[in-house]
Amino acid sequence: MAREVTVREYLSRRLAHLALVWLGITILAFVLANLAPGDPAQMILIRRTGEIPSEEAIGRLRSQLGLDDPLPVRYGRWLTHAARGDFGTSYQTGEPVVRELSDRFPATLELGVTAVLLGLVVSLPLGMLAALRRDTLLDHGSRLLALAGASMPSFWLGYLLILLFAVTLGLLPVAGRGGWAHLVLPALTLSLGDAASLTRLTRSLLLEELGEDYVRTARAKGMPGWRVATRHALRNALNPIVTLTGLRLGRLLGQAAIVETVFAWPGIGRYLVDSIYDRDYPVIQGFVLYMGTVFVVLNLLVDLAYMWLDPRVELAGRRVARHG
Amino acid sequence: MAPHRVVSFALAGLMPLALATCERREPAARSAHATRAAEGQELVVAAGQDEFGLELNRHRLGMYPLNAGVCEPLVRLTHDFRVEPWLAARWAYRGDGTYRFTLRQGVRFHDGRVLDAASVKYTIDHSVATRTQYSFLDEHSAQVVDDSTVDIRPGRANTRLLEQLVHPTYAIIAPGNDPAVHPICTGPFRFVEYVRQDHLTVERNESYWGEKAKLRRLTFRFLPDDNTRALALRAGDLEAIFDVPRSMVAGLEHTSGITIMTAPPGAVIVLYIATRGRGAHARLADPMLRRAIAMAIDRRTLVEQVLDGYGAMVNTVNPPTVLGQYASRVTGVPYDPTGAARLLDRAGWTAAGDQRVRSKGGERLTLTLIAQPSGVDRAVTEYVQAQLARVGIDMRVERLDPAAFESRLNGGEFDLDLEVPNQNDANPAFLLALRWYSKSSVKSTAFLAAGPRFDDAVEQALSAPDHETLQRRAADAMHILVDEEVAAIPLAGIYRIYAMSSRVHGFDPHPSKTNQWWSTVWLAK
Repeated sequence: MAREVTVREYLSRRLAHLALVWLGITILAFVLANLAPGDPAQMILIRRTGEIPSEEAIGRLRSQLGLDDPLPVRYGRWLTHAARGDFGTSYQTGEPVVRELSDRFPATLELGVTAVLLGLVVSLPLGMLAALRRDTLLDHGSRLLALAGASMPSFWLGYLLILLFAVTLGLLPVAGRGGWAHLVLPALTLSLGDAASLTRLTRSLLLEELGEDYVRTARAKGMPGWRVATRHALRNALNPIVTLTGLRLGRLLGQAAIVETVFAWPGIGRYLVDSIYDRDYPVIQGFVLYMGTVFVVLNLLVDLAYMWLDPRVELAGRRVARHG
Repeated sequence: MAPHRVVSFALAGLMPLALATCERREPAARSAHATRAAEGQELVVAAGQDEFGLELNRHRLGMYPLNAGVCEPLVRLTHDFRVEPWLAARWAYRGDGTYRFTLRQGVRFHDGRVLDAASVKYTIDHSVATRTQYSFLDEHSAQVVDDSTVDIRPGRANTRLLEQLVHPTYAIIAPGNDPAVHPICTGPFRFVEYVRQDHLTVERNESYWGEKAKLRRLTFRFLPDDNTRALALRAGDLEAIFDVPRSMVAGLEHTSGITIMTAPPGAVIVLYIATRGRGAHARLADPMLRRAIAMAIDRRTLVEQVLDGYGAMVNTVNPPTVLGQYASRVTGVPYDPTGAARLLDRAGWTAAGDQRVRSKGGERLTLTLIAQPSGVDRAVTEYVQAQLARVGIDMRVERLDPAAFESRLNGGEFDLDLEVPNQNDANPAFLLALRWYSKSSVKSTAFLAAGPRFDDAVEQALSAPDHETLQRRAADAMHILVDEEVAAIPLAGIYRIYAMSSRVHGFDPHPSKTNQWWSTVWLAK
């Protein structure tokens, strides 16, 4: 029988992996950003003056920014600073990258978390209903909804929602960040595509569980169908849903650029797109590292959530002792 | 076909229906905001992306690139690109590169201080310190003569200073003021609030020296997406949007309560030609080939059909009005596809049998055009491509993001480059000297230069003693550029398109967006 590992041991091991992943991400972020064609010094000068800069001006700025140094030297310098929490200064805004990202991240996080919650609120009941009312109009309707959600590009869905709820019905504001009313349309736009697939996943997982012996036994004992589904079957079906939800949050945070542009939401996504256009290396590198970290942490949280959901779960090939 | 594809197509088909349905309805939300706005004379305008976050634009908050009417320059740009007195009542050129300005009396800053020569010196020094100036000014350029007189002399010879001082970047700020935090100036509006990526709000300056603004409050909301701006207007969230894409005009025109307005051309779509290209991009060094390209493009159809009439036939690379009466000296290359084909034959580029693309010595006549998606819309590049294909020229279009575009341009990796330069000051020689003058410090000029005769003409223009001579000499230089060397092909002047609630009155669209004035605008109840 495999030796049990404690949660502390497991976490230590995962954090050690995290350091390696971080290092890989820094290399990837640095190389990718620097390999793209285009000169950041030139873009800075164009942005600053609105005019086309002279070769001398570009050369001077390149030298000031240390862009003439070999790539490994620049990477080493950046990594040393990053290790101290200094991701450099944005070429475009002149502000520290950490401040730029942390100023914008709350808006994106607010949008992403709301979208995930909204997706769960919609998809879990809908998926359950579709499973419990299999092959009924409700089931077919949810399938159509799922297909529609998966097929629609988010910007297009955003425009449709604005047309309906803001232009035609006048119920919600078109764009901007303010109270909850401003949050509804962008969050809905961001959530619907993934909610559709989550609905179908919930349905199929639940159908699988509903065919199990323990469900038949519970029903034979007279337990109502909805109660069997919510108390027993759904709980056993939750692991893949938790995995997908965790990954979705990470993906939504990374994919928010389009929705943030459509709804003028002052988040991190739109800022990243502009930074890529302008070859703002410190921001691109900082963002990739930031998002890489978010993904890794979310994965870790998802794994830990497994333990809570299912005591039989094994992590890293070994059974985890929850008392550790 | 996969089910999700079927659904995609079905939904795409439903889109026009959905839009049409929504168009016919009167937005419910509009009325409430509209009534409040009209009663309070509060105008909300959608601007594009917030560019004040960029390092240097921070020092020009409310001035450039979005001009909210908070600050004013010494001299102002008229709608026909001339210089008119503003905070300076008059000026005189003193002959040694120095302009002497006499300030208007009775002008006060928003904090009550009087406009004086020291304020002008502070502004010039500030523009030097923050590197926002582009006229060779330095810390010694501005000299106070007396309280109401100031001399300005660039560090290097620049007789075009006066025409450049109309630019909002030279708007006068109060001494000691940091415009990055809270601009204090003399304009008809005073700064209220700026929220990054969200909005900029100004309010009427009740003690303005001239005619007071009619609006009590003016807010610019930053909405980067074109469709969102249009939808916000239709929803009644705001009263005006600018830079409306042509593709949206028809939809907005048919929405009740919305009016479309246009400004005279302040920008021209220009096809830049690599006259000095190298290696694979050296073909257009041949003037016959350049002329054949110009002859192959039907610019009238471009204006009337592709631009839907939201443009003007122009022969100049600047808006023609900037050249005044001398604009007619530039005639442009007339449309003549048959003549173009003959020229290509003479240049040795022939199409044998049923070949659609000409070739010479086994080499196909393929040219590369670079453009930025944000600069020129796809319809224009496709039109040019189709026109050249008709005479046997294969044009490959590469639409690049800004950094990649600049990299290709400055590396000479292009044959043609499509851009839309804006005219934001009164100097008709500025663009000529920047892009085609061989002594320009701009790198891409090495591939675009228009030759020694053009250089001489530009130097003549830059040293012109007065504005009229400047216009005449600039027109002569442009004639060499466009008609003789065919180093650039002006395709069309483009109208800046505004969409407004029909309650908005008094808006006078300026061809230069950065010089737009808002003080005459008011809202009907």
